[in-house]
Amino acid sequence: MSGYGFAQHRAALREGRYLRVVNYHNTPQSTADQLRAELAAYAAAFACVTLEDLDRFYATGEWHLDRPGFIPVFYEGYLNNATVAAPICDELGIVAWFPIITRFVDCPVPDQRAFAEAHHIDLVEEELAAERLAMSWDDVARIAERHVVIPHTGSHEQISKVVTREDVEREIFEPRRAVERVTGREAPGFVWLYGAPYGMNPEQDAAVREAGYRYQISNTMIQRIA
Amino acid sequence: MSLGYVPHPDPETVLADCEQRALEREGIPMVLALEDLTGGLPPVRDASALAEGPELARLLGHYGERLRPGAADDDLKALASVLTVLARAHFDEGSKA
Repeated sequence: MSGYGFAQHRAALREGRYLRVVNYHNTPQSTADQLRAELAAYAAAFACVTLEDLDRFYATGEWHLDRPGFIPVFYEGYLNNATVAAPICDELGIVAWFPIITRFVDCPVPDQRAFAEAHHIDLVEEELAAERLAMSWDDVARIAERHVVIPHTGSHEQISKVVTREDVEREIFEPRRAVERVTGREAPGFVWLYGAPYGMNPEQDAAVREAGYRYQISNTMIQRIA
Repeated sequence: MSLGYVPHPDPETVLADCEQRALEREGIPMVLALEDLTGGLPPVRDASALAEGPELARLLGHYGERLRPGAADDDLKALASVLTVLARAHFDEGSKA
């Protein structure tokens, strides 16, 4: 899929193949009121897109929604996504997507700050002294009851550094198994660090498909890959 | 029928605002393309998307020429920057489409 860029994006828009998303990372308690107001405004204007809605769109070319669709996305697997963002979404009846870094969730609490600092996981000042930074697997299971949880690699790794079979197992395969084991639900999509799209790295692309993912989410698009 | 979306008069300032945002703690709106590599997506029949999509395509072209005039077509970093401006300036208009 070489050559993806401005022209293809314009074509997708022209043909009605697009979706609004809002990408969040940290959602500390200090931002809860603002987040609630923002999400309430989005929910009033747009309809949340569930996995079933996305599958149906790709199957039929129609949204079957009463308003234009959108997805709020909460990245990384921060504890504050579980304690602040998810409850606000639940309160507002919003379905969100949570791409989580599975080894961040796995990481022992005393090591989470060091893990974050070593893996491009940005922290907010008011939480630097917090004991726990990542959500737990119990949090993941609870979130998955109402929302979509997908892996954002095992350790927030960029695509060019996933080279060996061990790398592929750690960053692509095991994260999917871990999410599905804990949630009892399909982990349908995958997101690389820095949002690399499918189609530019044949070996990693093949691994993502082999792992069973059906969607890849990048900085500029959602691709159905299987 | 055209929805008549009007380009933001100062996209340079919108882009500068976007680049000043605290990505680690702010919600960043985007407009993602939906691509299908399986060959199974039928032509879109959603009236709202078909009405608004051409407007957004036109605006993407406008902002691209204005903000990243020398960018290669496959410069995804430039595309992402321009899309942040498109989303920032026109995200809510979709609810009126």
